[in-house]
Amino acid sequence: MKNIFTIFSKEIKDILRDKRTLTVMLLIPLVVYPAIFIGITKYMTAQNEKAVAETLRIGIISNGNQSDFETFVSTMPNTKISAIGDTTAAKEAILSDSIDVAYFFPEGFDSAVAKLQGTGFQYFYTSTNNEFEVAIIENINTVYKQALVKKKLAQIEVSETVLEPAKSISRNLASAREQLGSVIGGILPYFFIIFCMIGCMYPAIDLAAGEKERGSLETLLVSSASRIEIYTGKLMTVALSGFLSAMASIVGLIISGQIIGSDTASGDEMGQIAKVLSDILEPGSIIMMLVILLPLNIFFAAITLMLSIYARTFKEAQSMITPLMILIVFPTIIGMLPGVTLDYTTALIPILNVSLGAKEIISGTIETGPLLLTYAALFVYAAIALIISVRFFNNEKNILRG
Amino acid sequence: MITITNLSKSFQLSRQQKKEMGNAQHGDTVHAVKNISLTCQPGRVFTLLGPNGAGKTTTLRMIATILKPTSGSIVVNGYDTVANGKEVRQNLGFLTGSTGLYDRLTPDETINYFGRLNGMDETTLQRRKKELFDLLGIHEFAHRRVGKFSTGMKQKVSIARTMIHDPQVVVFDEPTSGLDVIAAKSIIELIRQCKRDNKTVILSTHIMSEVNMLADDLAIIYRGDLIYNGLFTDFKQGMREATLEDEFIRMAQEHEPATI
Repeated sequence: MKNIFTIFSKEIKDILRDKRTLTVMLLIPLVVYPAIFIGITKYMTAQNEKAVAETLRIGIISNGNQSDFETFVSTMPNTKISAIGDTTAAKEAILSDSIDVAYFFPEGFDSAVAKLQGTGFQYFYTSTNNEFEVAIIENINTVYKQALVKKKLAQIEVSETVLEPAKSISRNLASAREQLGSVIGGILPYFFIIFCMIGCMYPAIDLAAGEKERGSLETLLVSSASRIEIYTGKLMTVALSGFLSAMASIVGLIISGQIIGSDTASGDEMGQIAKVLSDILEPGSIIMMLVILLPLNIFFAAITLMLSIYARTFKEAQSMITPLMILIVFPTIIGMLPGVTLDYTTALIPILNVSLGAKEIISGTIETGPLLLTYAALFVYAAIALIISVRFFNNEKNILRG
Repeated sequence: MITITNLSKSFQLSRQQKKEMGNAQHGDTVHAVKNISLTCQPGRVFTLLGPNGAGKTTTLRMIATILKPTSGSIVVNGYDTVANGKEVRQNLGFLTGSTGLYDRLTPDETINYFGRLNGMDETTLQRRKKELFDLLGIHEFAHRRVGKFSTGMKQKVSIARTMIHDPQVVVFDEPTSGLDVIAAKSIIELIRQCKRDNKTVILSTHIMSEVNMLADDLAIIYRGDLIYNGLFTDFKQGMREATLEDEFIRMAQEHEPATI
């Protein structure tokens, strides 16, 4: 036990002095990712505000109609109306970016509307316009058509209720946490699963393949420490590194959530999501997630250490362990998809069960049965990975392969 | 004291290894060490001579408990290497040409680490560390990280690490390979000091001048077979060739003429 602690302390000191490991383990999840998250959110908010403030330039080809479209549009904020001669001029004006949209009303549009003969108008735009502009144009069309219907119904003295004799009114009983948690909940496990793995990778490579390559493993094996003590000391270091990295990613997310939440308008979607993300991470949820994370952490540590022990060199270990990221990202992303839930089958699939379990813990919809099965499955997988990994370390062929 | 009895070591080859070895290898097994027996006495330097790939390192790794023998036994200071691995390692120091140090640790931290792993109490560890640092002149760089040290400085730290727990048996596996003259000289001096301190010393080398300088007992190992085992003075008296190198080649030819 004393030797395990001696090895563990030395390895921790060693990796804390390694700038590369520190960067990957702490700096990226704690600073870089939140900075990117905050940066993207701020950029999107700025773009949104810019688009809302921008004037929509509307051209109208009236063809002699005295439609109230122009009057209707002029009441809308940030619009500028101009008359256009024909569709050719309208297309040119759009392509040369002197207007954003052109409305074409055919001859006899007014009388056709008045007589309920059925008619239509065309509008020209480019779909490459920014999405806010397109949304405003579509909103104008919808509201204008609703206004025409309302006006017509009033003329013929029919109540608007004829269009919707019975309204369906939804009363969603899901809490805000459940509603947003099911969406946001997918992001969190993605972060901590990925960073748990990344946090394990570099120390595992350095502590086994790196030591082998430097020749220090042989001298360590000749010390009085037993193989299992050496292995345990190294495994604890790798697991702690993965755990710290995962925690750093969660802390990074909470911090960025609070920064964004306090800095954006209440109606802003990203701001809302970020705020809920930080609000729903209460101690109970965090503890439950940690219990899920722990066996996964040992599972990752054992696998990465096993591959690193087998590898001849640092480089070979890197090329063996890096593709594992794809295997991990795949079930993690599946866990983020809507409709995929934790049940007695998915609880048995490693990584996917953590992704789904964490998602449902966050949204508060977790059921005891699948959760317990997830814990059991994870502990079994971690134990299997550990047994295989210890065998690898005890195999002299792997230890001296080089 | 080291007693080796009927020691053999075989390795199963993987498909990839067989492919790499081509026609040179028949079958799935390499017999690295074949039924060798020898004894290394305290206060004497036992030299294991042989070309690369002869089985020297495999033998030393079995003595150091890194590898397990396929058959036969090794007893180090009364402890069997398979049954009492920990006790063997507590009595053993192992030094190779590769310094195998941790770049991000200082010499002070490195020696503390290995001293503690070898079960030393703190007072003895600090006293012994001071003695070694005095002897090897490590104090001036004891608290700087090893990473940027010269080979000579690294070798000094490596020696201190090997000797910190004052082992009664010291194994030197080609300790001067890759070292400059000054660093190599410090190793030679260490081996002589170990002999004066009545330690059991086993030195593996393919450098004939080192054998000439240091050997009390000599074993020549070739392709896993022990082709000579006896006193170095007897060996020199019985030489049919003028130099040690030529004698070694003659013996190897006798053992396997078609390959030399």
